[in-house]
Amino acid sequence: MKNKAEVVIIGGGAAGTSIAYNLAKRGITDVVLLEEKYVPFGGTGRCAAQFRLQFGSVENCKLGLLSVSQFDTLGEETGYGDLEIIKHGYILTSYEQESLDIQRKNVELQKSLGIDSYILDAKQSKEVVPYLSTEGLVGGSYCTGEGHINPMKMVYAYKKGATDRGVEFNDYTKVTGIEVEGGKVKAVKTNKGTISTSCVVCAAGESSKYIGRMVGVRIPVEPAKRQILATEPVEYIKAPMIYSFKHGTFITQVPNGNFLMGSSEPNVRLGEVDFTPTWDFLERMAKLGIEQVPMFAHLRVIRQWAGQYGIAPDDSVILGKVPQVEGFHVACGCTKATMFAGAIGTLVAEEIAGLKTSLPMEWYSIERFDEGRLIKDPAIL
Amino acid sequence: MNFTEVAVIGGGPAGMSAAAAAAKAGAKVVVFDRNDKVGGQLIKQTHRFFGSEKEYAGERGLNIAKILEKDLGSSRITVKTKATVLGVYEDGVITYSEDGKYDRLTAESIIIATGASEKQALFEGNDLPGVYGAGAVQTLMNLYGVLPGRRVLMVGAGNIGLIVSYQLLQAGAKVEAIVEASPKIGGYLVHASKLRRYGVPILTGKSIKSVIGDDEVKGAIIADVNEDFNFIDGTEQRLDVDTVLLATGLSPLNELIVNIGCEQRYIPELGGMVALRDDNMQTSVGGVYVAGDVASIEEASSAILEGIIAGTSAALGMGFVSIKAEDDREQAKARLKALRAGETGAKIREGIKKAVTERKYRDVV
Repeated sequence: MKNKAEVVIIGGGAAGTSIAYNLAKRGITDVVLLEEKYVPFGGTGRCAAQFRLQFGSVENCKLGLLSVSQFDTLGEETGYGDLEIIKHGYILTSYEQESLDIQRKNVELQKSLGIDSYILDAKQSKEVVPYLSTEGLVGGSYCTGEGHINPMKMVYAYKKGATDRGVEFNDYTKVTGIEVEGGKVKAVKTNKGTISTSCVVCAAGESSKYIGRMVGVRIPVEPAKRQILATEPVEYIKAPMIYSFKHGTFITQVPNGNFLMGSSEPNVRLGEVDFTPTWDFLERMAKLGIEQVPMFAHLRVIRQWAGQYGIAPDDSVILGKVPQVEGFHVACGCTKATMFAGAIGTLVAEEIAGLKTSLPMEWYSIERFDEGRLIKDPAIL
Repeated sequence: MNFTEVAVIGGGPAGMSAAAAAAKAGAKVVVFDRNDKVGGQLIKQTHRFFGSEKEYAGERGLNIAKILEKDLGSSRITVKTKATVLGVYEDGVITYSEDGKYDRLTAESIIIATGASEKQALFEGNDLPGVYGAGAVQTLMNLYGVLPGRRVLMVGAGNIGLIVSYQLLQAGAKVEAIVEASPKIGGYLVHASKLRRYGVPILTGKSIKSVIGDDEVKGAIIADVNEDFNFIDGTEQRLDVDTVLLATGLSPLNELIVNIGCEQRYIPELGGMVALRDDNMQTSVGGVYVAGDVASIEEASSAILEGIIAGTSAALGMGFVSIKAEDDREQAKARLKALRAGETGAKIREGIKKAVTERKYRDVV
């Protein structure tokens, strides 16, 4: 492991690997990435493998667009190859007129930003997702610019692109402290030695608050467990991800035929990173799944696993410099690091390189919490 | 709420002996097996076993299954067949599907004895109909009376490859050849000699390169391999076969171990990813035990002994007092040690050394 680097990135998930690649692409190659386990042990490797554009805020829609533009070329650009991108779209379902009205507003916003989404009635919804039950369904919004990406392949592509350009990746390397002198970052201490650096990026996802505490910065991200069920594979139909605010769930079929489904949790225990699956999720999710897709009653569940969301007070990303410590940057995806990886990497790399950023950094900065400028997005579970 | 003291997952030799041992020590036991009868792989094993007499040497596998099944007759034991366990959870809850119906059971202690699955081998055409696991064909023949092919290529000359080859001859098939990539036959010489007497060629230093056929197996190409197990060009040879059987090893069925979060390690000597455990077969998750092939790929006889160790330990660990159980456990440990002694056990001993931790995961009462 190097003992000196221009930039040290903490975290080997979608955010960290993307930052590594995007820095290297801009000529900053004296970079070391530290991962406590292996790439991608955390949320990225456990997620539902989807990216979307249908958000209800300018900030998130723009992040989505910026990310997708990078995903489209990433496989080729890095020489990694196919990333299994399938733009099957999302359908955000509504079971009440009121919620469809909110979606109508979101679609208006999306269209104004160049996202090609539109409203479907119940019958049209059934046409795009033949297995969706229309019981009680009023309609939904639909867009085809979003869909599936293999998150493993995505991070391996980022890793390849970064290491080919000279970035050093270190697995099983735990950060034990960060030295700050005169308000500036000086070094990162790990279980494998110390690295002198003037620039640290915290891309530690759900564990970010612990990294923040090392330099006296409160990063308002709490770990919260989320789980996924996978069914046995059946014939693949290219159909959109079903995203239901009423049920608090997502349901999607991945290219090899398995259905994945997950839900928001009624009760989460904050403050603990915990990957243990629970049986009550199995039962609750199975019921919610069958309610929306009745044929699930005939499918076997073959697997269940847990991952961690790092949740922020407004469920949106936190990016960029912090005011208290010079050289300390935050890059927390806050539940969306995989789908926003392209944008997170681009923006943070641009900021570190001193370039004009593709989007205004103040939208996403950590200072928004103190200044009361939260990102208000009605299209997030 | 459904509740039991000990839940045993898997009704093979390890699970059956674990259940019997735990019940004998006083515990109430539920055994889950996804098949329609217990016995695991034993019920298709028509050959006689080797080893020591205490582990039923000289007896045929299917008879050993019957003997072990008798011990499940205890009033403390409930056997659930056609019952697939879906998951095991940290609060002791087991979710399962019995006869197609979902239910759950809470257990104070869980013994995971899920066995192993056959390893696939990599070659062109390995997904064509006509390519089988050797163990799967043994089940087809000996349990269901189905002979899936007439002219067979067996890949692998370990005991499974040799025994199934002989049983194929008994069933009327022709075994064109047995190929073995290693320079030496892995299985017992007595099995190999029997096959040679019937004129079956056992070709060492050779392996399967590809299968010929578009919709089903129409033939196979075998070739010599060098010491790094790479094919040597120009040594290809075509065999006229309609069936290719893979006896290329087993890997532990460890999904439930992952599910409940037991500490694991990749130990090639034991067949792959296995749970770390103390010498009572208790894993890093207190009250969760492993036994049999899921803990290390070995023989039915060692699975039976590991079952006794896990079963007695589960009961003793939850407070049942039984000097007899303690004795049984010590004896099982000694017999297991004897089984693994000698040259043939060297690899397993090496693996066990890596899998068994010094510390006790939970103090046994």
